[in-house]
Amino acid sequence: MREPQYAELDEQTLIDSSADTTATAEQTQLAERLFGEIRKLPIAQRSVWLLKQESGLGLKEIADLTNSTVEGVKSRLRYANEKLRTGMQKYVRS
Amino acid sequence: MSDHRPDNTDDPELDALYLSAGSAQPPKHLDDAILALAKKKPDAALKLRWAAPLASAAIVLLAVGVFVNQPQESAVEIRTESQMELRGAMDVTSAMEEMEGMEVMPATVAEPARRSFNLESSNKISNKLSRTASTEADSIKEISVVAPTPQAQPALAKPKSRFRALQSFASVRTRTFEHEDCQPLLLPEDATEVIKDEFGGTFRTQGAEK
Repeated sequence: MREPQYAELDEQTLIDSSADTTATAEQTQLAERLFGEIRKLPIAQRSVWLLKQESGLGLKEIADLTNSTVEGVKSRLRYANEKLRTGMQKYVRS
Repeated sequence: MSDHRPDNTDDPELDALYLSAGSAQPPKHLDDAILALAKKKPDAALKLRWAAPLASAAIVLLAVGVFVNQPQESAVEIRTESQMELRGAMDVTSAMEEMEGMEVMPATVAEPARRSFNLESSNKISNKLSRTASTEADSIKEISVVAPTPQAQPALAKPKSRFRALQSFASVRTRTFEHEDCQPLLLPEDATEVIKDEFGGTFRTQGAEK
């Protein structure tokens, strides 16, 4: 029977990559925590917050997209920021 | 609490956190090494030099096999058909030869109605006739059971034997049975006495009444 042929990484490459492991793990932990907090947000606040982060749209455009007012968008963003800061206390200055 | 203004919707710290979290990726040199291996190894794995010739040989072999077997299959079909025809001929011959030894069943052939037709009475008469016929058929069956069964049949029926069977059919004489309650019926001459006793009516041979 024919043995499966796997791509093999050389040892040095793996040793080099292990140096970054600690930093990568911390970053991954931070990302998981932040995404967990974002998932906890109500859908209206989450969508507004993610639209602002990902698309870089202005408040007026987000309000148009979400059938809301600028004041409503501002309010949702403020609430979302407060909740995220509370959840990420360990990583942000109070 | 936070030091940012209540009206300000921007939060630089959260933005920075989100950016860094989104950019969590493996080290670039590890990525490059994996990508390089992924590009290289599939080419090596596909080095099956014999695959293409083998596939070609298999196709040629299959084509030759199909062409070689094609006439043989048609010959088999023709042989099977001729065997079936021969078997059918033998069955017909044996049936005819069996019929030579027995009396012909009374058959009823309807002629065009010349009288007013009473359906109910006609059905009654037809039922009685069929009962009489089935009784006679039973007796014939009993006789045929006692009679020895014909042995192995010849491969092809002789024309003489076939002709004899047809002749025995043609020799059955019939008469027209007429009754006021039914249509005229063409019946074998042998059955006339039984039917006349049972139903009355008249029998006619070539226009003459009996």
